[in-house]
Amino acid sequence: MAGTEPHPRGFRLGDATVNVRAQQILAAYGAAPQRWPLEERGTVLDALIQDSTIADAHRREAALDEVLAEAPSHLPSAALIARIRANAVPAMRQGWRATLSLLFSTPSVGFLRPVSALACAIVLGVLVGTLWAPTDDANAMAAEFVNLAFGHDFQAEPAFGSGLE
Amino acid sequence: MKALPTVESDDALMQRLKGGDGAAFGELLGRHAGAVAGYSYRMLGNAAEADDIAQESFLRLWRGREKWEPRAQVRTWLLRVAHNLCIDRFRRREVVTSEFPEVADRRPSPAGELQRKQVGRIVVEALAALPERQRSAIGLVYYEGLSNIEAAEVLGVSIDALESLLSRGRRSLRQDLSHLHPHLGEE
Repeated sequence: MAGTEPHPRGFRLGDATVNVRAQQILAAYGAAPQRWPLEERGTVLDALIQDSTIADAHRREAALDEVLAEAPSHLPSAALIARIRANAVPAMRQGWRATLSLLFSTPSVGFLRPVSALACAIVLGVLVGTLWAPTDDANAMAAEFVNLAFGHDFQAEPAFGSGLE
Repeated sequence: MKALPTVESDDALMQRLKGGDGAAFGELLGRHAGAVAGYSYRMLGNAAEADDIAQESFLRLWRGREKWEPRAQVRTWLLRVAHNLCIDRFRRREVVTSEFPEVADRRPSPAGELQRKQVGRIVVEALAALPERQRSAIGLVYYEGLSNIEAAEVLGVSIDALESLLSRGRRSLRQDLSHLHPHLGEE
């Protein structure tokens, strides 16, 4: 019988039962195959190619999927993630290591990585600048080093435009 | 050659979490907080309430970690908790749909003339107008990408019942949103 060859999966393409089931799947799960029941995807795809009513149904469901995709989503903020973690995990288990790990590893707060890195760099820079600021002794040592190297006492030289040239 | 980093499975993370590992909890939070908050938002239409539900769901995961059974899937379990919490909130509300954002102009208009944001708000309102179980089914399958088996498990229904909820929900949405797309009004 034409058009009713046994389907490899046991269905008969063109069979009303297959078409009804394909319509049901489209009506329930929409047009995207990844949302269809895994074991029935092949059947629906075959029916989609062979039957124009299934193709029409697919087009209608694709339009609905497209419109539904416009609904705004709600992503959890970094503050929410931190709050949940702080409320759940006892304080003794948390520390700066855990906090940094969360900031740098959580995908949904990934945008914090460059911000966190910049903040860390600024803090480090301030610390280095504060703790290792040049002292008078260090300046004198540097001047002596230059003097030894070039045979010239730069500190003794008057400033340009001072009237002593 | 540098080896690719391996991704630890949810099951492995749950084993660590059972031992009180805070880092494992953080990893699970990063993986699933989006789905839980997103689903709760679509159910309730309120970001602050969705955040509260996400927090409560994860706190329950933390508190119940020692009794965790490996046969459960973490995401399905979390979404089921979030679903139940959403239902509790519905029952406390007098008029559910009143808490969804208002749409400034609801006159039918072609999608091309509407700003994307307005279309989104109309869709949110249409979802909010659905009976809660239909909205849940669409939220889990369409928006969160759960399989039919997972979604049925979250809702505590059979696959047939889930498909019925999905079909009826989508049919209502197609009618309510028909002015937004030329192919939506076709039969």
